[in-house]
Amino acid sequence: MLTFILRRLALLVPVLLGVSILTFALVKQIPGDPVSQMIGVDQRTTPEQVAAIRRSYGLDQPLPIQYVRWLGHVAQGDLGQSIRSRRPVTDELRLRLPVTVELTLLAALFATVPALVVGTLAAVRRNSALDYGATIATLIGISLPNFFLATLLVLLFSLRLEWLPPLGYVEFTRDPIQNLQRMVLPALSLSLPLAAVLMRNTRSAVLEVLSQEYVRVARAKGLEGRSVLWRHVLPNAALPIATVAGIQVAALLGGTVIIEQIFSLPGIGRYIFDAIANRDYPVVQGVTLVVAAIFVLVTLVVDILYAVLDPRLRTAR
Amino acid sequence: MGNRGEGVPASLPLAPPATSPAARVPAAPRLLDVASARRPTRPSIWRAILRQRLALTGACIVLFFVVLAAVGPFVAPNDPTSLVGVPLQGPNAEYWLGTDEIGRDVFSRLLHGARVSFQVGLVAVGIAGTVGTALGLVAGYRGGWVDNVLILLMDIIFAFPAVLLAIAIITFRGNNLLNAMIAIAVVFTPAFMRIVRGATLSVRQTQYIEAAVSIGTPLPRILARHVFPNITAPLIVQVSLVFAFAVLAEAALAYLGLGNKPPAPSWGSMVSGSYGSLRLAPWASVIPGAAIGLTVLGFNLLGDGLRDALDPRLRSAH
Repeated sequence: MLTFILRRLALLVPVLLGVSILTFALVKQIPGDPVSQMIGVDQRTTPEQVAAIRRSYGLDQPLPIQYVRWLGHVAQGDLGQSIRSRRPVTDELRLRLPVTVELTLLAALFATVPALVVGTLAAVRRNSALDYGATIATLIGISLPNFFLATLLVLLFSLRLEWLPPLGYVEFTRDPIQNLQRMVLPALSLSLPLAAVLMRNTRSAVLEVLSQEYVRVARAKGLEGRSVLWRHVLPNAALPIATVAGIQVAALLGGTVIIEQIFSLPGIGRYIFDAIANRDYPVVQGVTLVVAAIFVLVTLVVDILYAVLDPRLRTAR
Repeated sequence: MGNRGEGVPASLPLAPPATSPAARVPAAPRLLDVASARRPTRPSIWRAILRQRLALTGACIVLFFVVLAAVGPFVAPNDPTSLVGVPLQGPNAEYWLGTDEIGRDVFSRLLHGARVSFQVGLVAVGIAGTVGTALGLVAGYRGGWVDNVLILLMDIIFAFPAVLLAIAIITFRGNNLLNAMIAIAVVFTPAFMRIVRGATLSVRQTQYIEAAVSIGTPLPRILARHVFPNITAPLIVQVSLVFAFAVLAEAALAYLGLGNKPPAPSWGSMVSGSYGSLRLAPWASVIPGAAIGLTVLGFNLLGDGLRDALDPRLRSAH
């Protein structure tokens, strides 16, 4: 067990280093001179000044040294500052990350509940009309772009039915009701593809358990269907379902860009959206790095939890 | 297969033509049959029919989309970027799908946009498929440190949410259609690598590979002639599924103004461009949005159906 955790932790290092190298390499993809691109050098700047700027940013150093320096800054929580607002990226992320995390968790909630119920039912009543319906719904769910869904939801709820306040953001601590009112539609738009993936996964996890010997034994000794399901099937299917759910939800963090823009939510997605238009390189780089790092860490936690919770893995490793 | 020469046992299991995919994995389906015979489930004839029907629907949608992409720009009644009529007209006899917020013909833009989606999907899947397959073959066949390094690379790319990484690549490399294709290809290369690697691992265990090795067949030839033909089933499925994601990714990027630059039409940018006039002219955003959804659904249906047809091992999982 401990060796598994240690091995998993050791694996973390190269992945995180790789993520950082890839993010660092992004800057080197800028066509032309990064100094003039990043700092907005105009006609009046003399070559000497450009060279001075280059030196002050350490851009005259060889790449590995630049990388190590940059990594040193990142390790201290310094992701550089926005070209446009001049505010440190880290400060801005600290303000904006909670918005995106709330949105993601709410979407996860919306997705998980129906996915579990329908997925389980579809597996238990395999080949029933409900199962077919669920299969088709899943395929539609993963095919619709979330911005299209958001467009339809806005059209339906706020324009036709005039139900919810369409845009803006109110802090949860200030007014939870208003906050949730504004979060419902974006969270719904995000949740459909997630629900589809989770439902499909729940269905196959439950089917997998249903085919096990111990389920047949439970049936053979005369347990009725419902208690077989609750006592034997679901507990055993829960772990693989939860693992996929954890990873999928973490992946959602980076997928909120368009939704946050549509619903004017000041999260990290909106941050990166604004940065694209202004070619605010440090912002794009910082957000990308942080989101990937969070994803890697969540995957790690999910893996370790799986190993801790699954007795079979506990002894095997 | 006859050209492999007589007396080479390796050629025998390699023989199945593409039409009998089940022959490629002779052991697995039999095992499953035993399992399902013991399991008290109803025969899933209806499911098979439904699945086939869904796959057929998917194939029709994909075919329609391909035709649209091929001939659409030639039959489009109007120029997709010029202002042809009064803005925000509803669908009518002259403008079948109405006009958008500045008076461009939605139908013509839709036809031209189909080509962009298809182009991006084709190029991105082509690059990702080629690179991913090559890496997956090498990783799965060689194993050892080569495999470890390639898996690490794959894990690193997987750590980034797909659209976010694509956004980052395009922002830094420059905003144009080519970079959008490259970005999408980078993002989806691991998806191919993973599938090919897994399939290669199981093919590597077979006797015909052992036989090929024992007669001194060079590695590239083993990979190209002996391993690759036997992993095409999962690969074809993956092509269809990744094509779906590539179309979706292109739409998302275009929505953000990345890739095909406005005013040139792209389905994603049509949705975002007309979002402001959603109340007055819902068709201008809803129709291209539905086109994206339908196309992606078509590739997903086709991929799912192909998986059922080509990969009997996965049949029970559905």
